[in-house]
Amino acid sequence: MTAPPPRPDPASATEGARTDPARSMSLINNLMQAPLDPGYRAAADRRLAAGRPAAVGLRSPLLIVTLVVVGLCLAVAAHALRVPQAASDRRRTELIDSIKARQQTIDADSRTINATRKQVSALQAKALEHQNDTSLADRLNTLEVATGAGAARGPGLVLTVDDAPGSGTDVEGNPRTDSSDTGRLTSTDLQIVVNGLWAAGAEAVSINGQRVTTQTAIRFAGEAILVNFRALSPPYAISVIGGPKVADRFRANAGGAYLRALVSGYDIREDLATKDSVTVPAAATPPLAHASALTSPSASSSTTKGGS
Amino acid sequence: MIPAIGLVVGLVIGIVVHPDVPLSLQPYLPIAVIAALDAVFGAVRAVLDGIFDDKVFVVSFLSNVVVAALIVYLGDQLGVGSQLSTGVVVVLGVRIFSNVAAIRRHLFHA
Repeated sequence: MTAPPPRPDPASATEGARTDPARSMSLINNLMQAPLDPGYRAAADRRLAAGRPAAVGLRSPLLIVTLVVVGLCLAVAAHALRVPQAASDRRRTELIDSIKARQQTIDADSRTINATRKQVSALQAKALEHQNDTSLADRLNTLEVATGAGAARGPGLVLTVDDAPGSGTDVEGNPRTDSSDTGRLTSTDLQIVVNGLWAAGAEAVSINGQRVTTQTAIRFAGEAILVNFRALSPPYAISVIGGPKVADRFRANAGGAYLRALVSGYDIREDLATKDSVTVPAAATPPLAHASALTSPSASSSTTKGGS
Repeated sequence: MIPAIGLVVGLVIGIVVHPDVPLSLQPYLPIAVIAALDAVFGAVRAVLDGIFDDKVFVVSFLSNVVVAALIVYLGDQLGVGSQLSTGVVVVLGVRIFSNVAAIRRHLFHA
């Protein structure tokens, strides 16, 4: 920026010969030194020239009306701009309360379901005892473990995977606005790892206490991973029941390779611990309303209705 | 004293009636308030300087509010509404503070 050539302008010439080199930047100086509306001075000069006092009284109706308007303006603005904040806060707390209430309903219902399920299985066992049919009871147990309707215990391993260090939620606690989310496990990662475990010979799998059954979906909502439609938070502990070779076979198959790539490429943390006894909880399997067995165990005649 | 009573009356009316401001006008309110405050402090300083004029006050108040609203509207249309609002607040804020400083010198000689 080259300074414009000093050009004598009439206004400064009348003030004197001195020309301020910073004239072009005098906006702030003007603002600071002459903040008063020059109109006041001009009006006062006019009145003085006409032989009247420099100031007019403070009792003119125009002034009072204007001040009433100013006060009104202030009050209305304060009111209008303050209320939406309070209203949005109220909506927020209402939503939070509603979420909490529903969560409590869910928890209470889950407890009822679990208690009822225990009763049902106790009654089932009793009924089978009466029938003195141990083969049927064994068969039921096997099926329950296989379908996930019953809790299972056995030797296996616990594979714990976690997001990369430092990829937590951002300062606002909102994972969605976090930019450095490459170190975050996604539902796809978990799907591939769990599929690798199944392929390695896992017999029962649960993630953070959520049993993985034939009806389980590992998906995501926002950034949270849902298993059985429950949001899980890291670290994800995958409990697996299976033989002693599961760990080695998992290391060797595609799921294990994928996990290794995550560990080396994205700092995902993993920890695989072989356990003598792993407990996998029962899944909240919904009752089947429409599906029926193609060959029912009691009647071998195939009465298929609406089969595939 | 009477103008101060007028201001208080206006405030009370606003608080009691609290009319609903249409949502489309709400972005202009903060700027209008700052402009009004600037006019009021300018008037107080003029009173203390002994050169107060009611017409100048009314005109400066109205023109301040109108120009401030115009700037915000223009900024909204250009997509720089918040930046222009900030500019208006800074300029009027500087003026308010220097007027208040002059008022303080008048009242407390400090």
